[in-house]
Amino acid sequence: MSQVKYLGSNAEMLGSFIDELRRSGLPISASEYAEALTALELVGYESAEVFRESLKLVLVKKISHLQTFEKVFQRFFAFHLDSSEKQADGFSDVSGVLSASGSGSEASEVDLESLVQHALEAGVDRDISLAASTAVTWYAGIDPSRSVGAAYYIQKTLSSLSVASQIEDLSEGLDVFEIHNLKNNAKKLESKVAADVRRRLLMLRGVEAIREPSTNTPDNVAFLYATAADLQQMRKLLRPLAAKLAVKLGRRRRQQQKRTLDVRATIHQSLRTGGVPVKLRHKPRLKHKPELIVLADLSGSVASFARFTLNLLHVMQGQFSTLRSFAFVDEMDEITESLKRDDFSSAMNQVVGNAKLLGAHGHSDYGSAFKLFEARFLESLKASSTVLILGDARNNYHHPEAESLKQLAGKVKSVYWLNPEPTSYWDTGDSVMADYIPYLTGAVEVRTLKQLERFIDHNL
Amino acid sequence: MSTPQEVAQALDSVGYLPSTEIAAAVFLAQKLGKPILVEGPAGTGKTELAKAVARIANAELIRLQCYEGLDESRALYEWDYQKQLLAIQAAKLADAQSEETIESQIFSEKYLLERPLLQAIRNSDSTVLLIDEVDRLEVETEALLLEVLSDFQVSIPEIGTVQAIRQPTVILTSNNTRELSEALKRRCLFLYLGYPSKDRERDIIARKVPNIEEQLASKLVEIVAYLRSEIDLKKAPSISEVIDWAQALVVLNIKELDQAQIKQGLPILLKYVDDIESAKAQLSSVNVPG
Repeated sequence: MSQVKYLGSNAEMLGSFIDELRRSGLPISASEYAEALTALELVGYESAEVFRESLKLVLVKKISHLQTFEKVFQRFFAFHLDSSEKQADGFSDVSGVLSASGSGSEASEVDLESLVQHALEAGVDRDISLAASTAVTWYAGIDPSRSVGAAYYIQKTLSSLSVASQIEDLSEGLDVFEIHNLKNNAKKLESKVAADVRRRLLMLRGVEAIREPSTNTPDNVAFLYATAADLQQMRKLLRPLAAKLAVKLGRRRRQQQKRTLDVRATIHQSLRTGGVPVKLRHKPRLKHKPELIVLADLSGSVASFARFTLNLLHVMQGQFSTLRSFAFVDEMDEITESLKRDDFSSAMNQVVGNAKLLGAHGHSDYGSAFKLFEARFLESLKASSTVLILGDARNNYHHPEAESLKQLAGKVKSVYWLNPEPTSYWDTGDSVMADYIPYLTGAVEVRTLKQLERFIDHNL
Repeated sequence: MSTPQEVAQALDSVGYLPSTEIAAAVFLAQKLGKPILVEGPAGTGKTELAKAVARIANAELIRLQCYEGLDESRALYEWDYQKQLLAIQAAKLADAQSEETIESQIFSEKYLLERPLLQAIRNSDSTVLLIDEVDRLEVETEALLLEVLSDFQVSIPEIGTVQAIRQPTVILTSNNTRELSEALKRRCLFLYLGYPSKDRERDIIARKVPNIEEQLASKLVEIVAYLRSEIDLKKAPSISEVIDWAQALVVLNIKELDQAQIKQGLPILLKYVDDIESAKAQLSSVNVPG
């Protein structure tokens, strides 16, 4: 086990680590800081792993913050925590950092290849760390006088290492599970390389060298600009959100319902207390399945948002048995059945292949979409339904047809509009939010998962 | 137990193989006197952890299963109306006592029905209180727990405040179907329990199914890791389901897995027909041994 070494006082170290966490969006109170210090005194500094886990236990309160914690921890303690024993005996002189780490210096390129191969196959943490630091020594070519960031050296090392082609070679003759295993180990190797580069940079150039633009937590990424990787991250957080939404809609209805007294059962029960009805018995409440209708804009102008929307709808389909999803651009179509596919990509293909969303001009046209919805589906709505509209209300200067929305709103219990644009952009250019707002139960800016969560918590 | 390592050994000795994280959580919970909130997907050993903690401390495990609609009278305490009424009627017949004496009598501990939270607080032996699936409570009911969690006391208007005789170890579990309130989270250590690492899962299998061959166990773990991450499942295989499969294989004396056997094992691992179908479909399209 490696040890934690830090030159300053522990309180100072912890203080600046917490500052770094706060910068990345974790809310940490003063009492949590104090508690973290107490915790560290209790567990001691002998084991790096216990050190990390203890801090995590005290400082993180939310699943979506775990990854941010790990990232910041990696960055902050990269130098103080050496994960392989070789390095534990110290990196005291800078020249050693530049040229070598332990036995890695003597390893020739051929050895490195076998080191990496072994690391990928066995997946033992120590081997992976050793392979990573040897690779950095060989390929990164860290030059302390240049002010390039860690990302550059990480990229350089990884591309020389060409893990992907190694995996391809190793995969020959293996079954899918073994390949999956290799790929997981490769991910570990890549993160170790990154950690190693950061550690060396920190050593050579100080903390500024590895400070990255504050890490965004996945619940804080704007849908409109989300990359495929962001969406992947978000998808993990979506399931609990969808469940929450289902619970919220279901529960609210149940609470509003008046409970009816079960006279027979009450009298029966009162016999046990000498004829005094101490406890009232109620008839079991009918469990309401939340009914939800979603209308989603899937046009190109909100491409990233549309992909997110489909993800959300797909996850929600599992939670609501009574969810009906409709998509539109300037045509409108129901996509409920397509979304019932378990696998997201095949559901997506179904939607793209089967739904007729494009009409005469193929630009989003909320007006004609609402009009079509009114004509085709209005009759099937129930008075107890909740309608969610997802889109930016950018109508490409077509007629807003607010009257159709009014009809819709009159038919159902509530209509909410979730707009992925900041409120300040509404009604600028071709956005026609103002035309629709009078008929909505609520219109909210939902740019990020955090805002979506807030909407579910407070507006519903 | 004075170090996390010792906690780990103790947990191990009662049949629960902990990760560093789990050992650290149990250790800190004891030292800091704070509850542990364990969050994570179903089937990662959350409830099992509480049982193991109870076993190492040789403590009584008191369990409060949460559900929507749980109220004070089910969680904290309730007055025993029946007994109270009988007492009143008996007193009327005897006609000896004044109303105040009756009242003070019937609102005494004799007529108090303990529910799990109060029971845990008043237990004079060491106690582990498991509050299972907190996320199923309504937000308002969550507040019921706060007094118990931070001050280890329960207020009963007619009697006064009941302090814990001996502070119980509290473990809360949540499947994360909703975000718990800040107030609750602040009072707890937060432990995220995901699926175990490959090594840990292999060790768990080896522990629970002693006569399984190491190679087969590794293969199982690989397959399950693949299912959990590469196929979009409604419910991913839990640890106990993997153990069930391992046991089945040992009983059937299967030493090596081929495509057909993996498919046969799917109903043990997966609990939804849809999940089984999509896993089968995906496994048919990839290169599987045999």
